[in-house]
Order: sequence, then C-alpha cells, then structure tokens
Amino acid sequence: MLFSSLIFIYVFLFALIICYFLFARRNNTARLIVLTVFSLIFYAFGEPVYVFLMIGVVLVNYIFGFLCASDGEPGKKQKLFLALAIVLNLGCLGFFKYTNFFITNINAVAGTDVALIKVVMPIGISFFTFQAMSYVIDVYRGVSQVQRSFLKLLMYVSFFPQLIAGPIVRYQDIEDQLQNQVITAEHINDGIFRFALGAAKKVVIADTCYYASEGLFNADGGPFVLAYWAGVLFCFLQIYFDFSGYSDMAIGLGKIFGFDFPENFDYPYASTSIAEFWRRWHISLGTWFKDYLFYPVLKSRAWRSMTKKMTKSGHKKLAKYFPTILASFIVWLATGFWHGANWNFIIWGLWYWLFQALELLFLDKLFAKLPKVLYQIAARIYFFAVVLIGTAIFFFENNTFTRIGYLFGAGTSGFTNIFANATLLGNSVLMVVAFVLCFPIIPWLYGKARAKFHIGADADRIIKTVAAVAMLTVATVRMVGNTYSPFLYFRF
Amino acid sequence: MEEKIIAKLNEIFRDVFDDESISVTRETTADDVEDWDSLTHVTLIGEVEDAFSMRFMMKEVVSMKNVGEMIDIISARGKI
Repeated sequence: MLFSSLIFIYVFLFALIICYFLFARRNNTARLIVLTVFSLIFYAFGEPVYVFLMIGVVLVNYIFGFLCASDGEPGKKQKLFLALAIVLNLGCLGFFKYTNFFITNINAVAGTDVALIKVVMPIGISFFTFQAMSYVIDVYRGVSQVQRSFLKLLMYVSFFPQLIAGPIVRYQDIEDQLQNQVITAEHINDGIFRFALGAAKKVVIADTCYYASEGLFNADGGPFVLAYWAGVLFCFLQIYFDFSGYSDMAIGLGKIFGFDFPENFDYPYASTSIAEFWRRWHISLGTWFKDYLFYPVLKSRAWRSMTKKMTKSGHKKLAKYFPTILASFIVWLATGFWHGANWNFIIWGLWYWLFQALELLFLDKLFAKLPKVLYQIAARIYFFAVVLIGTAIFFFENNTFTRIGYLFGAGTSGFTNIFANATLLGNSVLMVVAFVLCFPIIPWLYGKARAKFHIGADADRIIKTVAAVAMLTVATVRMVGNTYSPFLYFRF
Repeated sequence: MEEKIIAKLNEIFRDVFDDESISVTRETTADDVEDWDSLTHVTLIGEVEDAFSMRFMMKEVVSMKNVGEMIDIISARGKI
C-alpha cells in the first residue's frame, strides 16, 4: 500500500484515525495496540506471509535485548550475545537479499551452474532489520534501557510510517516516545501539512520527472549525449523529490500520531561538498552507519594499533588520514551494498568514498584558498558533477558502463536530434522549477514575508492549513489519473 | 584541575584540527570547530584517550554533546 495512493489515504488512514481518536486516544497501551495492529495490517497488505517473519525478527531481538544489556561497559557474555544477534540479523537480511547475487557471481567466476533460490525479498527488510539492530546495540552500549514490553518493541519496529522506507529511527531517539507522545492539535496540524507536502512532492514532481527522464533516455533515433545528461538530471530531481517526499509523508504521519521522527533530508543539493551532502541526504542511514559501523571500526583495537604503529614510525600524516579513510571505505562499501545486490550500487558507494577521501586529503584545503565568490562557483560545479555522475551510476542498474559512456559520447548517435530537443523543451519548465525547489527558497521567502507582513502564529496556522488542503487536493487529482508509481526506495 | 584539562585539550584540538586559533571552553561543540565532524571525531577521541591514559565508552563517544561533557568524563576517570 503506497502512502500516495487513494486506498491508503482515504480508506486505511481514515479507518485508523477513527479507531485511534475515538477509542484509544487517552490510554498509552490502547494507542500502541491500535497503531501496532494497523501497522501489521498495513504490512500484511503487501506481505501476507512475511509479516510473520517481521514479528519473528522483533521477537528474536526482544530476547537478545535482555541478554546484551549493559550499563555502558559490556562484559564478555554481552559481547558474545551481541555478536550472535548481529549475525542472526545480518544472516536474515543476507539470505533474502543477497543469496542470488552471490550465486550469480560465483557462477560467473567459477563457471558453475548453481541454481538460484526462489525467494522474494520482503518489502522493507533492509529498513526493519536495521531498526531492530539499533535496539540491541543501544541496549548493549547502555545508551538505552531494556524494553520489557514486547508490544512497545513491536510497535517501534513495525510502525507503518517508517516501516518500509525509513527514516531509520534509532531506538534511543524513540525510547521515551513509546511511553509519552505529543498529542496536540498543533502537532496534528503540522503532521497533516508535512504529509500533504510529501504527497505533492511525490506525485506532482517526482513522477513527472520520471516520465521526462524515460522520454529523454529513449528519444527516437538515440541515444544522444544531450538527452542523456538531461535524463540524468531528471533522475537526480526525481530521486530527491521521491525519497524526501516519502520521508515528509512518514514524518507527517508520525506527527499525526504523536511521534517525532528525526529529519531525513536537509536540502542536500544545496551542499558544496560530498561530505556535507551526506550529512544532509538520507540522514538517518548515514547516522546509522556512523554510530553502528564507522565509530566502532575506528575505535577497534586493530585500528588503534594501526594508528599507533604509524605514529611511532614517524608517519604522523599517514596516521591521521589512512585509518579514517580505510574505515570510511568499509562504510561506503556497506552503504552501497545495503542499497541493493548489484555491482552498480557498490561502485556508486565507492564513487562517493573516493571524493570524500579526496576532500579530506586536499580538496577542502584547495577550495578554501579560493576567494569567496570563486569558491561558491567552483565548489558547486564540482559538487554537481560528482553527484550527477553518482546518480547515473545509481540509476543505470543494467549496462552501467555502456550507459555512462553515452554521457561522454561513446556509442551514441550524436549530440541531439529534433525528437530529443522537443522532449527537452517540453520539460524545461519542470526542470527549472524542480531544480529551484531543491534549494530552501520557499522557506526563506516565507520567513521574509512573515516578518514584513507581521504574520503571527494564528495566521501562520491558517496559511499552512490552506496550503495543506491545496497540496492534498492537487495530489489526489493526480493519484486518480495515475498509473502505478511505487517509491524508489521500496526496493531496498 | 579543570584549567589543566582545558589547557591540555586545547593543545590536542589545535594539533588534530591543524588550527592554532582554536581555544576550547566547556561550551565548545562540533559546530564551533570547522573540521570537527564524524570523520575526525574518533581521531580526536583517540588523542584525548592517550593524553589522559583513559578510554571513553562507546556510549560516550556517540553521545557527548560538548567539551564540557568530555571534561567531566576526563576528571572522573582520566590521569591528569
């Protein structure tokens, strides 16, 4: 069930809101039961069998929570149980997501003919296993208390707004909210606004960008260099509006039911470096990898002794950069692989690793030497070039290198032709508008207007309500006429 | 004692972030120091651990909000 579908908004959500506000509002346990039951129905709607797998994953982690818990200094026993919990979680994820990838590659390398297994990957498994692992690790580190209530843990993992495509909420961020939610009219209003905003971003902008990019990639007589670059630019716009739109809807739904999820996007395309970009894009995944992979690797005994050896032998610069860059290699490899069992995702991850490393080593210092205006221009050109090619690697799942080659003229039928030009021209307004909206221009203008026309809190609320109704209406109209348009991140 | 810790921390910060203009206070956060991000955080932690012959717990590494919290942990467990 898609958030941006009529059945979700006008049947599922409607029924949930009635049950929730009529019967459950005043009692925390009742609220959690209603939300959990509806979440399970939501998941079962798409995965009638795997819903039991998900409950099983929660149960296993619920038990391991008791075995791993520490006050901050875990002992040998806790370490062992944590390792076991991680092996089980990753094993489950690996089985469903990566088995066929490994079989295919082994067959290709060894010339064998091992048959592929017939499993379909459960929707959202990459997201919910990461949330479940977050619980066990937080409890192991003593950052969070053991959750004695199975209902609360099940609710944390299965809560439908963030179940299928994030944001990946760390357990420590939601622990208290499982007990106390903020249920006020203002919070609900904010939630509705965020949800409407996300719906509009998805069905009005992202879906239109998708059709534009397909038109350009498949222009009659092509492929063409110009059409391919423009197509990649539309993919670049599509993925932002699709995924950040989804996150807005998830955060908005969370707010309607009293939960505050962490933000997932912060105008990432307004960045001037790759390091900054990854602090502002899919923030919840970056935070997860930072907390649960990058820091532990860097703080491990192996890494410390590597650093010490380098310092002792007089290689101070090496000791400062090499261990960090090596650890970030592992993180980017994992990030790429997390996105999908395909080589293009691994190359995509390492592409970002390369530029993040170059920035740490010398690019940052180089850019910093430029005068301010020149810096803004040079850094942004560099940034867009890296991210556009990154987007191409991400989207070109098949024939990755051939299609990247088209961008540089290899194997194309020329620069452009009349059909490609017509498609490009027909979508040029969309391109400009969508690109401008990638920058925080509307919040900035609205802030100015509020100050100038003295728009108080009440008027602000009315404006936002009107805007929400308008966005939801436009989105609904689009949904009625729309063919199936799943979110990009549902595959991960 | 706190002054001593701050003086030593100052030296470490200047060394790790290659910036002689840094002077830390209890209120200093990662936002105040240009290069203090996730890539340099653990390097900094490692240097502080060596200087005060102590270890930070993972829980502290991920949740320290400012230099003040770091100083409190050092004064409780570090050798000054």
